[in-house]
Amino acid sequence: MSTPQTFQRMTQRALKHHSFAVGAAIVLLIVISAAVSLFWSPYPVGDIDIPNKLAGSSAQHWFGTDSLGRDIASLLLVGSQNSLLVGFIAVGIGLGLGVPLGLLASAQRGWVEEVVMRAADFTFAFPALLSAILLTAIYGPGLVVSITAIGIFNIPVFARITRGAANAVWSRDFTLAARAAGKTKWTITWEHVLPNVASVLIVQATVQFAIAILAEAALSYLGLGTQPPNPSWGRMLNEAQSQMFQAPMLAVYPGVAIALAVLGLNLMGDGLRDLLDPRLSRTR
Amino acid sequence: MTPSNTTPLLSVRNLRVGLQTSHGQLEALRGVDFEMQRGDTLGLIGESGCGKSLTALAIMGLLPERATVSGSIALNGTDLTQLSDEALCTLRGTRMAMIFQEPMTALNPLHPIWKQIAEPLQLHQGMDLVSAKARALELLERVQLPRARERLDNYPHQLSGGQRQRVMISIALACQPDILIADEPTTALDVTVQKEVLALIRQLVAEDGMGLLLISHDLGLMRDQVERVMVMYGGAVVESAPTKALFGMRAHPYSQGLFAARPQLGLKRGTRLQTIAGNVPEIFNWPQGCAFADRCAYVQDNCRQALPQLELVPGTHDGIDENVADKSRRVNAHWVRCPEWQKLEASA
Amino acid sequence: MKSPHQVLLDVQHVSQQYALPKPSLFAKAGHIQALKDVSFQLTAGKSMGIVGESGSGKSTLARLVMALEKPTQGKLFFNGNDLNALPQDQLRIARSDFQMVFQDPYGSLDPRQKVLYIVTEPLHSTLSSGSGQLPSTQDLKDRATFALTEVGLRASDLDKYPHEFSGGQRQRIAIARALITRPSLIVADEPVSALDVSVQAQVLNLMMDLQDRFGLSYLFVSHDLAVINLMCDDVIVLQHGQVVEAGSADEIFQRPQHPYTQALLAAIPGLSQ
Repeated sequence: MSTPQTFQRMTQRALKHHSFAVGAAIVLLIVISAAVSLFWSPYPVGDIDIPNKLAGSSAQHWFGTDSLGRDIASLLLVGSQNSLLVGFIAVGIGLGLGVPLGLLASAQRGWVEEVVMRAADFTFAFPALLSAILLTAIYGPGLVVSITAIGIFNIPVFARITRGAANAVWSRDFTLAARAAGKTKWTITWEHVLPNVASVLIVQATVQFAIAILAEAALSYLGLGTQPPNPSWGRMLNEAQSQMFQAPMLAVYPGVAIALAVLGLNLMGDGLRDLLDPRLSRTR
Repeated sequence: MTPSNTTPLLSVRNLRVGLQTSHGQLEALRGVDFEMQRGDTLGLIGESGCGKSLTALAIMGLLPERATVSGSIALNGTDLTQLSDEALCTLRGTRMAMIFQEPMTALNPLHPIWKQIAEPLQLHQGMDLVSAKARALELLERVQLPRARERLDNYPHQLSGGQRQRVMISIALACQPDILIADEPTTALDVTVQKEVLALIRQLVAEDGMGLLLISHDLGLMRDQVERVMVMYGGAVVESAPTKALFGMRAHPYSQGLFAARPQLGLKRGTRLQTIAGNVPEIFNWPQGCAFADRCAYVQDNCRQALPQLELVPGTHDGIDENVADKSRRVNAHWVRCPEWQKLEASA
Repeated sequence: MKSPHQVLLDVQHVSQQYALPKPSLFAKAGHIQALKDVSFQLTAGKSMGIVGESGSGKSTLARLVMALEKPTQGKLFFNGNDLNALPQDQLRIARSDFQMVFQDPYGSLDPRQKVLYIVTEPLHSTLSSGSGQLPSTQDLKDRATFALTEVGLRASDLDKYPHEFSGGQRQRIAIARALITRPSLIVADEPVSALDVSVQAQVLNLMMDLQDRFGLSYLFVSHDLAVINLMCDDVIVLQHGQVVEAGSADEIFQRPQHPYTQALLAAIPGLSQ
């Protein structure tokens, strides 16, 4: 079985797995929305139209308008860019910095491992959301600060997971065989350890992505995340609060969007966990 | 001679098991037949994938969810295949017990050993905690665990492999089952410990008059431990004989190959071992008829058409004039599933 | 090829200790003595068996011989070189002359790599090829193909992953990997213990054929006395990290002196009849 055939078989299996298929479909939908919204949205998001504020669904406004007359559908579409951006960058920071730290800790063991793990513990000791709030309070609210804050808390997560998975890989004989072949620890880490921990990291990345979206929504809800006029699902929730009794649907739309994104990612992550792990450690 | 109207301890007839694999539903056991009386010791020998562990699991009712079972498994006359899982639970641990290969994973690392032994007693015999703990101590002493009283509160990781296996044996014997199934019970143990544990099993089985079904890949073990051996290959029993007879003469080409492939102490250094050509086929590659067909030097066309029937090696039954079906249960009978066996040079 | 009767491996008074985790912050850490004062010599072209049960230190000894660990005391000489005194780059070159086959056919091959990579791994370090230059892709492929055919596999297997092979076939791949640098010594740590009887026979025959063909020496670690008797000229018996008996295979198995050796022999199943 050569690689293209394996890939084909893997995709077939992936599509048959219900969790993964549904989750991936939802995530794909959001990604497409974000992509489309880069070029087009039903209405420009900056367009305020006070006379038409708080309208219900209609042919012109599929989800109605908010308290400033902005089209909700457009806000949701463009807001998805925001959520995806946060997810990618925050997880990217976690992977980019956390994974090497975890690999380092696992390869070196001894005091290096101790230092890295205690630093991770230390970071975990701070409640993530409150710390993010603190950071935005110090450095000012905004997308960049909130992504950074969320990203920082991804670092110990990935460091810990990577180190645990890497330790398991180091205990297997093929790393000994690589050492017997004269390879250095770093070569072995790159060629053997990393590919074997990749599946664990991929699954965790989907989980952390969902968490990042939720965190950004929370920060934006508090007014600390994405600032106006850039749309954000979290801030839409905040604005909906004051209109709770006049237009309850204003809260439902962004709420559902957030929930759907998180659900899709979690389903995809569950599916990936099933698809990736037992398959590749198949024993007879 | 046992009269034919005694209910056998265990009677397995035409046991077939189908498993759900990535290649679809496949038949993993293709019609296993055997019978055991109380006090009988029977060995199942074979290599990976032959179905020996599956047979044990089928008897215990521990097959995976989507496995299909047909045929009958009668324990003391009750057909286990017809029972619900709840009904089977009342039998498992009480009338039939099993011990496994890897004692470290078969024991719960979070419970002290006395608690794990007490569990079947409390569950099946309704004993209270104090009596169960006392009985656990008795059982540990019976399995000759050194310093049993001090060790009652130990956790599995504090014991050695051989000691853990003794604990597993005492759990299995707690409710005095009629039959003990041992699946590779000593494979994970050192050879000196293996000898002690096997001797212990033999002693306990003899004392209690239990039936013993011993599963192993080790021929030498069979010679010491059981009165009768069944050789399995490709989901079927290919040869079945009293141990002494089998070690004297193998009729089936696979059995011959298996015996010849063992390194033995008497061999000169550098002697090439006799090997069986080819490899054990995967379950999805089993030939239509005899599973050994692709590797057999004596294969004929009819071997591939259907699974050959068991044939009796002449002169090996005890001569009682009964119908054929009962003859297959005679302890002395030497059965072989090969139409060509007479053409082979019977090897010693 | 080494000239016969040359001492290939000289293990001198090797001891190995491992520190246990400290029971509390100020208590002294205890230690385990895995090996104590082990010495033996292996002559080129011959095979030495290391017999022991769990806890005997046999796997530790194998790792020390392979210079995967440093001994707490003692020295190991390979071809006259003190393995633990060699600078890193010279050690890497020296490694091409001794290779290892591991017990677990499912753990000793990286599931994420193809067979071509796995089998040629000992050649990857530039210096081990001796010429100081990275071997070309074609050169690697040719050598890998040759190694695979030597062990009874095919060139088409190079492109596959370990999970596509059975246990016996994986062990053959592991042997091909050990052979690829044409070593003088192969350390085999329980290489057939995890295999079925009929597969075990095939792999042992293969190892004997390769020994005849290439003049290899084996350091064969096993708990199975019958296998050691078949494969090895000389034997040392380890118990709790110490050599309790040493000698030729014939002496040890026919006239065992030490009670432990006698107990091991007596415990072999199936012999009592």
